[in-house]
Amino acid sequence: MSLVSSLTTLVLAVTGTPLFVVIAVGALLSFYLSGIDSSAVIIEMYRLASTPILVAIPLFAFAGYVLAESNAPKRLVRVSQAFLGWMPGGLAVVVLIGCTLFTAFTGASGVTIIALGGLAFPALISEKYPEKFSLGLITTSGSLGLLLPPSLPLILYGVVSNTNIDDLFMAGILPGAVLVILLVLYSSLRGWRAGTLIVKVSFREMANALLESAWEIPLPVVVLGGIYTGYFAVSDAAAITAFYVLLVEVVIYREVKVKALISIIKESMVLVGGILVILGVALAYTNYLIDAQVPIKILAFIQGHITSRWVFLILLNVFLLIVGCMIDIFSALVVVVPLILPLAQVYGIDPVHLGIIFLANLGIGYSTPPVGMNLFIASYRFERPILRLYLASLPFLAILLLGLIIITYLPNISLVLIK
Amino acid sequence: MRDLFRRSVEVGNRLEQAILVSLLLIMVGLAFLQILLRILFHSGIIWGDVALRHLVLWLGLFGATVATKESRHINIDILPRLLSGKARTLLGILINFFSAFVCLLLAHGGIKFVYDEFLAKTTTFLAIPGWIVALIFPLAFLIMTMRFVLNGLAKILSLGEPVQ
Repeated sequence: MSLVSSLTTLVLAVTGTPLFVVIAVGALLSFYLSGIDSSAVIIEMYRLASTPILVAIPLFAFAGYVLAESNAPKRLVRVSQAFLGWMPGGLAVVVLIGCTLFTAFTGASGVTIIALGGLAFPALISEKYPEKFSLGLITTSGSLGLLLPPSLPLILYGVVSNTNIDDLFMAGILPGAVLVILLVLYSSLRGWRAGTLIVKVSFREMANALLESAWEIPLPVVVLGGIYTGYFAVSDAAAITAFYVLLVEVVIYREVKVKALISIIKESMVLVGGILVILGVALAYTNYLIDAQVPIKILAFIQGHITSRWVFLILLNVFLLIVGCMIDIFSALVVVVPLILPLAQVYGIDPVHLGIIFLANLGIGYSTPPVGMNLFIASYRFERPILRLYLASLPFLAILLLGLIIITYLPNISLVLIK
Repeated sequence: MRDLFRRSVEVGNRLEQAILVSLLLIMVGLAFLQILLRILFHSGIIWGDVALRHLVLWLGLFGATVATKESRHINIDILPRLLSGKARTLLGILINFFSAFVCLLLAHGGIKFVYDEFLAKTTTFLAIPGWIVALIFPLAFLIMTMRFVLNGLAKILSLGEPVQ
């Protein structure tokens, strides 16, 4: 019975039917077949209103869209340039760090490519970085910040897997740093070899850049400081961020007009609505699957074939890379996590570590040919053929995969900070 | 008649946008106020947190109705990418009408849920009856049903036009 509904949903999913409809069909069908009333689906959806952490999602999404609409990306690039421009491949490093921070705060990595890429790409070209390198850099760094707080996917993983969000925020730091450092090393090398310009250290420019961003600099300090010291919860951090960003960009800098605010709210809530409605129906469907002992059946099947934890991890990596380039990260988390979590626990994988593996994988999947989302966004934004972006992203993907292997097979990188 | 229909759709869209914007601004304000009260006075609004959680539900479902209007729901578009021209439009028509049907079923479940809440006389924050808060389910899914039907009809009409 559960097989019928699972197969129906799988076939429906690839036709381009909205995912929430697909999952709703799965839920309605299985409830109907087991003689449960259809209002049970709605009862499960109502759980959206009993999960305090979910308050963080609309607030962070809104703040991210406001930031993207203001000149904050420009100021972020200027500050990073002033402090990191002296390194070989300085500008490339600036772009990497800038994109990482921006994605951590905005969550949806497509936004980063559009908001920061538009500034970074012409700047890289004018400083004599090869075009192919620049395209690959921007495309792949659009999903680097996913592992760092307060990223939305990290929060969503916590919600879906019932894992402590504060632990996830600690666990993401080192793996996030591993990926960034690997790419920084590569970019420095490439920049140095290409003979790009190196900016001299200027304390005056540092001071000016800081002064220009004076209103925004407190934001990461307060938010991250507050979360890490345990002074406030993630949803509090989200509330402060949303209110403060609104105040700074609309009232103080006046870069976001009140009229533009309406479309910003609409855009960000289309994202939030798209995620939450999937989460809502998925709560019903996965609950049914768990009641029907589907994970246990999958487990029995897989245990019959895979005995080693390492083989399981390799298969998980491959599986998630495929999922990551086909489905967007939010729906992937909502749908796949409940099915994989019980399996992973049997193989002795810590749920926190599993979360980091999920996000690192799905983030890389975003830029993986042939259908990774970042590739399409970058192709559209920079008006380059998609094939060129495939080639441009390959060296970066190779490096990220190396990072992924390190993160997956050395669990302590994720877990050492929470022990 | 057709004009009247178009006008009422337009009014509905504006109303929806106004609700969405107000809900979000109320959420930002209320959430911040709660923190301020807690830090400054070690207190807070008693119904504040429950209200915030219900705002998430309402915002999410209204966001989903807007996503339906703009055909921007998250999907996996492998099959549509492989098709072109008329076949793709036909698939789109099927998907829209099918989605309308599923949303109608969800709306039906929503109506039963509201009725159950009404009978059980549950209350939420500020003594608001639970069935009023739950009205969002049938409301949102009926709006989505209507929009999927309209999107499907628009695609049928586009079949008559010359392919660009």
